[in-house]
Amino acid sequence: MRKFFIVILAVILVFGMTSLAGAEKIFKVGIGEDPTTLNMWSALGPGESSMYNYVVLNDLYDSIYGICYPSYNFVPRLAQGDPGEFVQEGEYYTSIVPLRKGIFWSDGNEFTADDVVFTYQTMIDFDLLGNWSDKHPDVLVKVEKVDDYQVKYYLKDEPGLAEWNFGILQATIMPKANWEGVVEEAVKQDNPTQYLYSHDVKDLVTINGLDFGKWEKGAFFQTVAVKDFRTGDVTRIYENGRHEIEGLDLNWSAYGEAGSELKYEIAEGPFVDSAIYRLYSNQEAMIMALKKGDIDYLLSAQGLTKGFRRELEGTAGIEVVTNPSNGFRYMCFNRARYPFNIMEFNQAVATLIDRDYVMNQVLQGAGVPLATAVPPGNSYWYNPEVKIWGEGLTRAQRVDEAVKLLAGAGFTWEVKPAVDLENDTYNPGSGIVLPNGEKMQTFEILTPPAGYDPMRATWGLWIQLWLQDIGFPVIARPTQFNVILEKVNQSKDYDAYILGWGLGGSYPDHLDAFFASDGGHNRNDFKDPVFDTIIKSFMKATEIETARELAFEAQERLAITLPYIVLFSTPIYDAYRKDVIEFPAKEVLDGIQGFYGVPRSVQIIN
Amino acid sequence: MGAFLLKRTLHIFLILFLFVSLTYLLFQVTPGSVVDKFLGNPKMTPEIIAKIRAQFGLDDPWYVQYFRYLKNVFTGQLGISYSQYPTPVWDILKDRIPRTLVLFLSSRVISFYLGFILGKIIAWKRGSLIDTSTTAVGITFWTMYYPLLAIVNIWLFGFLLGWFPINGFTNPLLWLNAPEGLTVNLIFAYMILTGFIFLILWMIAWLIAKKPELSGKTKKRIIYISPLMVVIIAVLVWGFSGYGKYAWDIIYHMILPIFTLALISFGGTMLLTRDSMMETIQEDYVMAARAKGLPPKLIRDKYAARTALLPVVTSLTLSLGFVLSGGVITESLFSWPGLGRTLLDAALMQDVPLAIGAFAFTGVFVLIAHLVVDILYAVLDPRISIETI
Repeated sequence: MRKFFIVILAVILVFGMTSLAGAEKIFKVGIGEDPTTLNMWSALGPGESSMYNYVVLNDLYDSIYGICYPSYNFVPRLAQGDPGEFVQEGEYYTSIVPLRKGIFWSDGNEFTADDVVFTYQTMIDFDLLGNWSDKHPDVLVKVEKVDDYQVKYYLKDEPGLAEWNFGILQATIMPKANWEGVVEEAVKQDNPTQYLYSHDVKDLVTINGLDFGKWEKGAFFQTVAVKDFRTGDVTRIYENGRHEIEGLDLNWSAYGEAGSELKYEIAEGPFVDSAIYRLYSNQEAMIMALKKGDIDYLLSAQGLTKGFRRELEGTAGIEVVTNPSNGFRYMCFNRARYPFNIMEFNQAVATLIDRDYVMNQVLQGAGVPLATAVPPGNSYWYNPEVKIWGEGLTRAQRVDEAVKLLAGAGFTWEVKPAVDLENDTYNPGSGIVLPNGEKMQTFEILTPPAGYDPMRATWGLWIQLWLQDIGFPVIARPTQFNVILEKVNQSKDYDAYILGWGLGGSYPDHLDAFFASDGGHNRNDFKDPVFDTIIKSFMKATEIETARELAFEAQERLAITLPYIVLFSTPIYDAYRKDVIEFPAKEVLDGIQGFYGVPRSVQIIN
Repeated sequence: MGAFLLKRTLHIFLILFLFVSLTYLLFQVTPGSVVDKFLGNPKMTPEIIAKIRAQFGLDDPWYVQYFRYLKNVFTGQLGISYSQYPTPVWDILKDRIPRTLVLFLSSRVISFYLGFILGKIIAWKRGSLIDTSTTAVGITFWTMYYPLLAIVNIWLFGFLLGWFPINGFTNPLLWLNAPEGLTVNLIFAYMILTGFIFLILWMIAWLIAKKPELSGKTKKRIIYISPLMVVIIAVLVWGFSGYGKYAWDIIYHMILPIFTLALISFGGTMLLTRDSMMETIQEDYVMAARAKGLPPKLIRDKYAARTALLPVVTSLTLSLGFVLSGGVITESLFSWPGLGRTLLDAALMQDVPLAIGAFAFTGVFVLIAHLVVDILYAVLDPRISIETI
């Protein structure tokens, strides 16, 4: 019996270890969750929560315009050049967009204006939500076909770049021939949108060189190359920011004069025969798989921890690339409550916070100190001249500066903090009295608990300590994440909190959403008419240079008024097998994972 | 018997009603909702989020939502998932049931069998070196931190030695060339069917072997050789069908998680059996058997172990009721997405229909397992009758 088991075990091992890999060039990616749908309408709709739907589906489709890897600049994709100038036609503003000729869907049909019109009309008719929402704002009335290779957009008002270039024009285009029947059937249903989203896709029709291969739920997802149907675009990015794109029916340039040194040349293939996205719900196993060579690239929504990064950095054949994230963690006071609406109060708090100390000394470089709502990694839009409170000051100097700011605003103390600048020491204050004469009551800073986010919990403790030093009766209270969201977004029952934002794109229209008086995500009731004027001009700007100037101005104003005290951001680590694959560009805001591993451009070198 | 079953069925419905109501209440008092995921997206205005709430029916009064969930559960529809809108909950569950069932059923049966065999041996040899060492090993693994053991096993057998796959249940390179229409779930379903046929045939063989006119040798042949024959036939059928290599791929991926699960849990059954056996071997009828000069192995297996089996069978049956709830840790560590992960993810995302659907589905099986335990008690122990339960 024992011999029998030994034979069985040997057979298992021999069969199991037999390699099945052929000569195909396969890009093997480890992903953290299973995709949930093949239906792109649904994947971009309100219900689909898995980012891995975009990871596997995003490169099977394309848009008229998109953002450039790795610069995040606005560039043509299926368009043949820039969108036309807006002209007023009766009550509407119209713009004509030229489309590229000779691009085919994977079913052999040519991409034409019919596909574009069909996609926009479906979005409008069905009022599609989720990630479709900003692609058909109320201002968009309709899209009409001029001829097979031109479409005309009708808008109620002339839009700014945020709404036009970085919204409407970046809609994913769907194949009309493939979906027309489904949409017609959906219209007849009681709930047309639900019918559209729940359509079980069997014959996925894709565009621009990548097609659906196979999906085994819970195991892997495969895409395959369709080399006859690719545009073969080559994007050249120069040191001065100039972009040039050459490809099928496209020869386009922008963002600078010719003559500068070439920085990146990025060709679009795909150069692989297929890409396999393999599920690893355990990150440790995913890392072992990368080290073992089961996968070439690791795409994890949680990001890599410092420990894993160090482990991988010491492994032969593996490279870990570090990039800034396009987002930030911040502290924010409830401006509807007194005295948090006093500007000097916020400035004093910002002065007391030593970002560098917490991030580099306490948290040992686990994140990057950050003071602005536009991260420096977003280099085109980041204003390096904005004031950073307390920068370069010692602790005693910070206390001294904060006391001056508060005293100037009318705050007094029962025991005022005593600062000795010569010896760089101070004695804490106590019994702070507000400008209205009332003694300041204890207030709370809500932070996510350490189990959820140890970094933000640590920040809360240090901010509490520094504010207590100056006499503020404050408690940092670790609070369940959902409870913070409820207090901040619904009941508005909070004094201060520490949360974060992931920004997605590079265009800084989030400044309007977060800080304009009527901003959709103005969570702390911040109101500043000066800022409102700047940001509304920015949102209406139609020239990129004008928009940049206004964005800089907006950042300068925010640095004074401080609706958010931005604290830090987390770096993004991308780990891949450098002995197997090569990415054309590795310095990317939000990491290579922000472009889902660029399956159209990645090269297999071994 | 009929009245008993009717009464217990009514109990099951009542408990299920309370269970679903309590689950719903817990979700209602939990802060936030499924649409909170959009609060982190600057492009989502409050107006858009309000529209999405309306689309999900979340702006209906709580009692309207409550009765909608009750209707969904008791009509078996289970509703539509919010987090994978508009996928029906049942479609999500039915994708995950086969893989959960195959992995956890196999591991439970193996760990109980191993635990029972070892338990009766060490009870019989109580105080010996085998007893002490096996008990120590069993307790060590039973009390070990499970995620650590799993990671160590993955590292040792998957990464360092390379004997088994690190994670998942398929080798994509094999499955890429699978015939059209052949899916992993289909293979899982066929594997369950094979197991079921094996069980039925073995039970038939066992019933035939119980005939008094058969000799002891013939009985043994029927009981031991017939399942072996079934296994050989099954292997041949799988092999000739062309699906064998796909089933083999799944089995190969199952070895490490099953080994880990068996390692962590056999100790419990082993100690339970040992304790039960220790009591049984003190009984007069065991003493009488010894006095008659019967072989010790016969006394152990036929006299003592059969009586000691009762609490073990109870424990196994109840645990089988929980098989469908899967195991969040196992499913996560071995990348085996099943019902356990579905439950956890649904609860975390506040996908109420999916969470309640998955809970209700698991709840029904646990309640049925309780019913089976009651019936089994009466069948296994003649001193207990259905009326006394």
